[in-house]
Amino acid sequence: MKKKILIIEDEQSLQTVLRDRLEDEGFDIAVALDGVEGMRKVKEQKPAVIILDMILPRKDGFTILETLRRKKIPDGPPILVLTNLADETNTQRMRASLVDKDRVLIKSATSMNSVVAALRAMMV
Amino acid sequence: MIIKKKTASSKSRQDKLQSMFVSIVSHQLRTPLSAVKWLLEELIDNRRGEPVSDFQQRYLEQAYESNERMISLVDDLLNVARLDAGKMRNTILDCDLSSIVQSAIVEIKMFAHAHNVTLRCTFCNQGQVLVRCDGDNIRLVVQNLLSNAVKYSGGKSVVIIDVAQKGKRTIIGVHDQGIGIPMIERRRLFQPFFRASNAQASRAEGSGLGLYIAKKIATLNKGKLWIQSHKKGTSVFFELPAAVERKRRDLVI
Repeated sequence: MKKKILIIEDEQSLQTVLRDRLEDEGFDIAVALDGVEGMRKVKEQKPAVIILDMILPRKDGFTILETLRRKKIPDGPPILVLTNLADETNTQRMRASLVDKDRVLIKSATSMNSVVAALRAMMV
Repeated sequence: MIIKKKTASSKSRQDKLQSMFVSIVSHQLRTPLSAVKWLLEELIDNRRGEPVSDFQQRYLEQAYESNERMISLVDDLLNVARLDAGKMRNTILDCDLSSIVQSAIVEIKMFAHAHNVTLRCTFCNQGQVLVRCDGDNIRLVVQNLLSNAVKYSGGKSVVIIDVAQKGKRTIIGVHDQGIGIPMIERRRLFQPFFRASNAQASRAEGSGLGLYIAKKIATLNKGKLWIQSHKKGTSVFFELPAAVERKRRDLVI
């Protein structure tokens, strides 16, 4: 059975290119354009990995992280944070929630091939 | 006293504005740039094997290159803003210089290949060279020095990266056979946005921020950066504190 990836990303073009490539790579894809829809789909779709943007309408990625990783309990699927926020304050805030199986990649410094490689590694 | 208080609060407001600016720029500018990066990567890779003419392929590759230049310009501007505000993350640990240089070489291999320049590290395959620094920031500096060396090499040549030990300090050298730097302009090389006259005259693109950033990062890491240049070729030296328990036998002197 195909593994499901949930993409929570509000930038339409990023969402499109991620969805197309990951479908070509043989994954089943679910998408959400904002944080509220994202949280709903985490529960409904039970993805193998969640791709999470940080700046999102309605509910931001930080709040989602803090909800899914309450008290740093590593339950639920691994989270790949894809963001362009690389400054210290934001990085610290993300690190406060993330657990070992999660990853952070800076979009503008990462190729699509590296995103795919990271996802595959997280699914092992 | 009141005036002092006011000044302090206006400074803190200014700092807040500056860090807000950095955060907004980093997100708002990089998001569309990364979308273009990924869309073009997928088009250039063309894994679906759809027909693309040579003309289209050439233009796609040029668009990708221009976008990469824009991303690195935004990165440079952000780094300058962070460094000037004293907000650059810099965690000093024992780091292996061999692997830092190796990964910097991997990053700019394609760029060097396009310029017909070979990168040769004299110590990378000979074990660890441990120094005290922030690995990510020093990688940024090494990448920048290598990219300058390639850019101003002016065609088929070799860039050599070597290392030497001087007491408790480790000195990395990046040596090119390029256009050199006019004597009279050397003192201004570390000023922001300054580019040497022969660099401007060459077709190589540059923001004039690389060496300014490199010098600031060197200082943050208790290091030094200096340049020697002749009519043909430039050597940039970068000194860092060696790690206390370094493996001396592994060092190439």
